[in-house]
Amino acid sequence: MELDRNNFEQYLKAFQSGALSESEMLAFCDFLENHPDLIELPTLKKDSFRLSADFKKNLKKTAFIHQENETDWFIRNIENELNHEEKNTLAAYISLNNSAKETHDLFLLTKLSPDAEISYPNKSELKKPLSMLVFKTWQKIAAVFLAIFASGILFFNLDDKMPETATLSPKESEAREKIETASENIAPLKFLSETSPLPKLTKSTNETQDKKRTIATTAICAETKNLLPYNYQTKFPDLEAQIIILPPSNQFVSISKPEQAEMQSLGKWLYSKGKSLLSKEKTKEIIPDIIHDAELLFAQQLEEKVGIKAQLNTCNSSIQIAGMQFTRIKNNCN
Amino acid sequence: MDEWSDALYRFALKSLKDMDQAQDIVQDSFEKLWKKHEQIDNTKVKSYLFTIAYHAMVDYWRKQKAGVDIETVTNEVRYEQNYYSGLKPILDKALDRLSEIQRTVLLLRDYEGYSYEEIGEICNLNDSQVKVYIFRARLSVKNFIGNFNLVV
Repeated sequence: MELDRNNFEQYLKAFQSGALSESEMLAFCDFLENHPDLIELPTLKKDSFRLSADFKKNLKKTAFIHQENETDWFIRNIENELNHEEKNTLAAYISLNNSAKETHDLFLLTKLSPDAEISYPNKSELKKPLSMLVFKTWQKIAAVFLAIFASGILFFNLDDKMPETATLSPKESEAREKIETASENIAPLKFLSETSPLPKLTKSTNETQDKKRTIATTAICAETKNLLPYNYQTKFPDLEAQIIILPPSNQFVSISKPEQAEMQSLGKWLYSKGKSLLSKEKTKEIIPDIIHDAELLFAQQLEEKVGIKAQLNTCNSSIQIAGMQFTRIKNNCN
Repeated sequence: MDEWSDALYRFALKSLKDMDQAQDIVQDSFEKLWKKHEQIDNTKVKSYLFTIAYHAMVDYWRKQKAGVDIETVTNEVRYEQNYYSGLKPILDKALDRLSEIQRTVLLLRDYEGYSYEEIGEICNLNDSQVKVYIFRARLSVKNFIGNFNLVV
């Protein structure tokens, strides 16, 4: 029922008997304020009666609906933001105002509902891919270790691969590539006589066996007597350097990945060339300085002739070449 | 998951009006979900999907604004003709007239029932901004619908 001049007395009685709701009380007070000619009743001022805390809290929102704020009320109703009291107020408002009801109905139409006809056509594509199956953490860790282990086995079985390349600068990587072919380049650089041809070492394509290599090296020692080969190993079993010291001149040759046949050939060549030198001046003892000198010479030659920097480390008897450490391991002739 | 894919597809399709693009976005969203599923709280999976989809749509809108895509326009026409009759075409047209963000928040609100806070998380807005966008969207849709006497 809309409050107007004709029925305000009914509201007044209801107010006096406490039958009005809080919103109705406020509406009634508002009505009287707007129609001061009807009644002079100071006790009906808004602040003259007690409002509940919740109602006060929402007083601003619930105050009154009128044409200027009705849109806000309608939308809040759709958004389900009105409390029970407010819903009653809104219901009362639209029941007394046809224009407001039409507007309110239009707002109700703005509430969208999902179209059940629309569904994603290829749901199977969205299933969890097999590769993304959930693994427990320990399984993942185990898988990583397994992968690393498998990679390691694979790597160490490849003669021509050097895995540390990834940690090197481009320049160092290039140097490493040169090392791979060093067996071809280093050996002829300076050995006894540069005029004599040195048997060219070719890169190994077959897997080298340590046992055969040792036999071959020993054979050289036997043939060349005082030629002393010093082996230098990396952590990669198939990559080996060798400096053969020919006393007393400290001449040397470096061999990577020697094959048995090549070693024998080289040994014969060394023997023929070294024999004359040995006959002129014999040095029975090889002192550490000579080894060091040979290594130093090797490093110098490496840089001069091949462009690879090598650094000696006397503490652990090693040569650092392109980031890779060649450690002196033994004298095969002893 | 079927329910989520349908909801996500509806959301994308209504927003983009392009079936292929909407399907791509659903696929991409699920792909990203599977890649990061361990880092996502189970209770937020759906919200994560909608967030991913919304960001993908924003990228799509930006690209679209850079150049007119005739194919999209064609799809849009086909889409309307094939799917709706009655009030729905009018609502669709009303939705088309909304700004992208207004349409997005309204779809999330009505289709998925997300709270203002959740919509804010998806669209990177605060609650007040979401409320304002929804208010404007409803008002705009209501005004558009009001022009069709038959509907009223």
